[in-house]
Amino acid sequence: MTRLLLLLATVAGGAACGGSYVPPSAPATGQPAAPLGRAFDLTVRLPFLELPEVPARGATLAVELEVDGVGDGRHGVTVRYDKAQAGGQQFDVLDLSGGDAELVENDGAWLIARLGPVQVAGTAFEYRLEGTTGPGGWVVAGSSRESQTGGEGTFNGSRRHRFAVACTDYASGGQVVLLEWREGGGLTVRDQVTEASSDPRLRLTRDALFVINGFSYDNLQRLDPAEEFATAWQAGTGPGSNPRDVALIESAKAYLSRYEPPFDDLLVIDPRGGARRGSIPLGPLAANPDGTPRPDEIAPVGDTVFVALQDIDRTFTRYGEGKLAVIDPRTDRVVGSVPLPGKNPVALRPLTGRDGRERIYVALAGIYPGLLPQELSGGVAVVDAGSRAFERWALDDDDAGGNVGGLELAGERLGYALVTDAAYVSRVVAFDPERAELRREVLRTPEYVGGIELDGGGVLAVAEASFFTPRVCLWRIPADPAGEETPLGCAAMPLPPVALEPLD
Amino acid sequence: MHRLCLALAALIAPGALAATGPPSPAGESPASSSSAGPPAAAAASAATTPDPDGSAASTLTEEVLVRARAPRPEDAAFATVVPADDLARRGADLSDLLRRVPGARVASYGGIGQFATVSLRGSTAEQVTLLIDGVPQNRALGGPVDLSTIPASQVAEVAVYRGFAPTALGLDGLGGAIDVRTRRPVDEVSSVAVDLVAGSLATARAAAGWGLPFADGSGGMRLALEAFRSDGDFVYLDTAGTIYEPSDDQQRTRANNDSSSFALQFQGVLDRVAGGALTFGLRGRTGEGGVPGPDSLPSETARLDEDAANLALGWTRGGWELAADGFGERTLFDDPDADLGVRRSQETRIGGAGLGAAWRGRAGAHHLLVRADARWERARVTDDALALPDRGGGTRTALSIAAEDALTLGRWTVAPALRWKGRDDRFVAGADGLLPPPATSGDDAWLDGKLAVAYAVGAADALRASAGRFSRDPSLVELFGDRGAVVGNPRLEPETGLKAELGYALGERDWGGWRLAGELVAFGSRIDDMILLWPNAQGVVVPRNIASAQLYGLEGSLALRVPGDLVFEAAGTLLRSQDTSGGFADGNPLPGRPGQEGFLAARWSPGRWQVGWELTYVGENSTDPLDQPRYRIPARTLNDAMLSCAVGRGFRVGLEVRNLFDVETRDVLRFPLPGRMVFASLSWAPGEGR
Repeated sequence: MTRLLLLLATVAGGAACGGSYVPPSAPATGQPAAPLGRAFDLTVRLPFLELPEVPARGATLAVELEVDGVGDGRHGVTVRYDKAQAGGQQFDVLDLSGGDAELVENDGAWLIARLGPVQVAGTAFEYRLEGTTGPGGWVVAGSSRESQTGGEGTFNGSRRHRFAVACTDYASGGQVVLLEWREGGGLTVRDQVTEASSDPRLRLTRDALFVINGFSYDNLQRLDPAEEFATAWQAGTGPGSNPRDVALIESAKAYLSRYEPPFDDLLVIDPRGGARRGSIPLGPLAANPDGTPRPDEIAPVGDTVFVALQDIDRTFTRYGEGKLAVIDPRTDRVVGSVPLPGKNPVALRPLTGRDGRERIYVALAGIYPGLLPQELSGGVAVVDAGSRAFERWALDDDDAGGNVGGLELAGERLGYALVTDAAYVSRVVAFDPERAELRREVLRTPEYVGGIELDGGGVLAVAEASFFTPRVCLWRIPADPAGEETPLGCAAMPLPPVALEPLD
Repeated sequence: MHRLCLALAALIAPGALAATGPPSPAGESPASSSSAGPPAAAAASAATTPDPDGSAASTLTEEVLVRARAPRPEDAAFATVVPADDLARRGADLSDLLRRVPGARVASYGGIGQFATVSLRGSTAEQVTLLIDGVPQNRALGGPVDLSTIPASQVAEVAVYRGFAPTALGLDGLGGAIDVRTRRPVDEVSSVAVDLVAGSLATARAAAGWGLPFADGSGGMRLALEAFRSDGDFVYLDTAGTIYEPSDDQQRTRANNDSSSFALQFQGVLDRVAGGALTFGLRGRTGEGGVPGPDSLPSETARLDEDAANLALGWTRGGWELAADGFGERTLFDDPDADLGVRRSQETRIGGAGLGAAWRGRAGAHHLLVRADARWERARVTDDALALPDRGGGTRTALSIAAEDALTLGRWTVAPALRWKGRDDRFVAGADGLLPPPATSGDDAWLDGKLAVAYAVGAADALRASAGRFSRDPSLVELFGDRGAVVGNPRLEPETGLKAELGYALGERDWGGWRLAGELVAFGSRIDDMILLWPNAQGVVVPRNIASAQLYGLEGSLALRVPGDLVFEAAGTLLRSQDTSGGFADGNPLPGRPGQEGFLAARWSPGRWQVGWELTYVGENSTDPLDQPRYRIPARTLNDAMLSCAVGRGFRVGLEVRNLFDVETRDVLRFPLPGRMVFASLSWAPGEGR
């Protein structure tokens, strides 16, 4: 009996084991998010440098630059070195400067007046780089000059292609992954950059990167590029609001679309912490019986902001024709709307034409088969942003062979669309937006394609949310729209990828 | 504290208590007894032992081992029979009863009266065949059985076949089988019983039963009623879905978590009909409740309204058993404000009927059992909120034939069993053909089987082993979709599993008045072609046979009765699960399968008093496929305490505190469970003299 009583006492004591459930939590950085910068990989040739351990003159440095900010002006630069090559040998590079420098950009001219001092094989020196950038700033080349001999060399390099990828387990959570591709260096993946929900979207708006956590999570996360893309802050957007997109209007103002009723609006927030500043109701623009506008993607064009309204009722079985709400960001008011010639606008891509006119290309998905029969009532519509009117079709979904669920534009002669047919086979197709013709098929897969994105350097990324091989595949798109895409490889993802965003 | 936790872990490990006393033969079994194999097979019995004050004995001792009878084919498998005699007097339901069973895992979505499911040995809930009095409750349309729809006061006992369903019940159940046995007229000692329970969260249950055994012993009738309600409005922590922003966390009262139901059951037994015994049962239930949604997205208006009726007939004569049943169910899910995403007013009507025949016979050392079943089910779905309300429907016609031969050779029993099953599915496209599924018909046939071996060790113990291959047919929704978020996949194969178990059943021993019984079982399974709903396009999922898993573990139970009316009960499970799908989660444990679970109970019945303590331990529980520590539900220990007293004239009053230390917890990640709850009960059973 004594043993049993002791046993009972032990069991009762064990009652405190484990304790209460504490919901998942994670620390934010607690700091304001820095703007997104650029990463370059340079090869710097210093042909006259003398190294005591090397009989022949000359050395080559492999340099990684993280440049703060985009565009003309002065930018802080963080410098990292790989091994130096000299006389067929490799040497460590010791940066005595602390790794900081300054880049001056001006209309394509590129100058870093001082790098270093660095120490290679016992020799310390400084050097400078001066060159020019290629189209879009994705390549750079010019001259180098080191302080040891004053000899001049050359350098060249390219901007790294980076994509943020949001992955999900479709159950309890997700994560953001960083995917990088560099010329000659291939693909690298950095997992678990930050936590996300299981219903994530990504948006880079100007130089701010956000994770938009959708229905039942209902919050916005801003990531900090200066902190390895860790979460700077997270703010709720209202229970059940289902945020879909965010657009930075100015440094202290952003718009966030809230898809679900009763929200039905653009929430005006402070992008520095998520504080709510106001609301732009969109319900009056809805034509469906429930009056639910279903605002989705947001596209700032010039001084105006366009918002895709899907106009679907609460049952998702009664669709109005899609439309664009036109917002004046100076007054935060709706100033008009643009009727679209199809249903369910899911993507907006602004493009400045050769004629100088701003146009918005709108992917109209129509109706996917499910609750209703499949309806191919859309494709890619072109809207003139100036006249705020539908101009023409850039792709008909009947020609595409299915619902158009994603859109990217390389120019007026080359676009890419994600098309899903009635058997749920997904295809990424290249098309000619000017002639509204299909060009070729880039990818066909029975897997769910979470998204397609094209970065400014001409790399197309496709997220395949496969169960067995979740991955993101990249292609180099052709300079000639009639050419072929060049596969750059695929990167395995830790979870199925459902959203992409190029970091450029 | 760490040492205490380790001590507790050791205590709940199966077999940990085996050294507490040497076994010796006995004649009385513990409460949740395991069905001992030949020659001592456990069976529920109506026998009770009077308390000193004339009341019934503790329900923990009401089971009696039935000895010296012929072995039954199902004896070779491990099963646990849990009596539910005091369930009607507690603020608990069937979910709580099943937590006592080793290998059983209950997932509750909101506490008493709310949706709850059970799985066995790491299976999915859909893989478990759940029966009420032998009649299957799993529906061809799909989905697991909701335990909260089974009235607690009408349950007499639950037989849990953790590994293999017996042939007598159809040999169905990839994930095992659970037979909920309701109170029968001939079990009733008292003619009238009334149980009232009321307590926290405005929970109240009133149950009444009237049993009338015929005076000439030719059978009897029983009528039972149960009314239940609960507000379910407990307090929980809402993080607003922002794991990086703790400042917006707040304590919130669970809204729209109420439930109410009324259930009726009428049963009869006529022992002299056409030379056999005729049983009939009619059950009806109507229930209504809120659908509260996940923690940070509380639904204010989504409701579920359910009505169901079942009729069952059985006739037994000699070795023959014939059974027929019919059922009708109507479920209305209403979400007028689209709180859970989409406005719905979806009505599902399901009806069906089954016929079964079984024959038991003996030929020398062979104990034969042959059973044939035919079932037909029909489902129809409409949703008045949608632009196209008719969502279609379908039928399934299924036939199965199972045969088992239990061969007794001295101390050995060898029992091979085979089951052939075939089905034919027809679907009717909704909305006048505008919403066709990928196919409108399909059929399949399958062969399942097992081999069970038992060896009698001494007079009371048995060593048993079973191995077999079983399957779960795809549901109608998985095959044909729901014309909404689920697209059908007519090419689906059944989920299949190879399973094995090996264990030792310790028959009850008496050691100087200390009585001990228990079992220890090792089990393992490999499940292939598991059906997973996988996204395929915008807002659409497709069922695919893409997942597989391995599960293995140990489970044990032990019961000890100490002189002085003190009874201890322990059950525990160690489970290891591994995703072997080859997908992104390959190698990780399956979500929702804790590695350790345990149950301890102690009851003391001095005089008219009954004092009880129950402890439920659930180990750390992965909730995401990658098994990230952040998303694990930590280990928890829940304590319940009970006190009751017989006050004379058949009355008994009771007080129960559940979750004594107010541990905030959940079974499913975003669905919180109640904290501490207090219930009071008043029971009246004049026939039992309480």
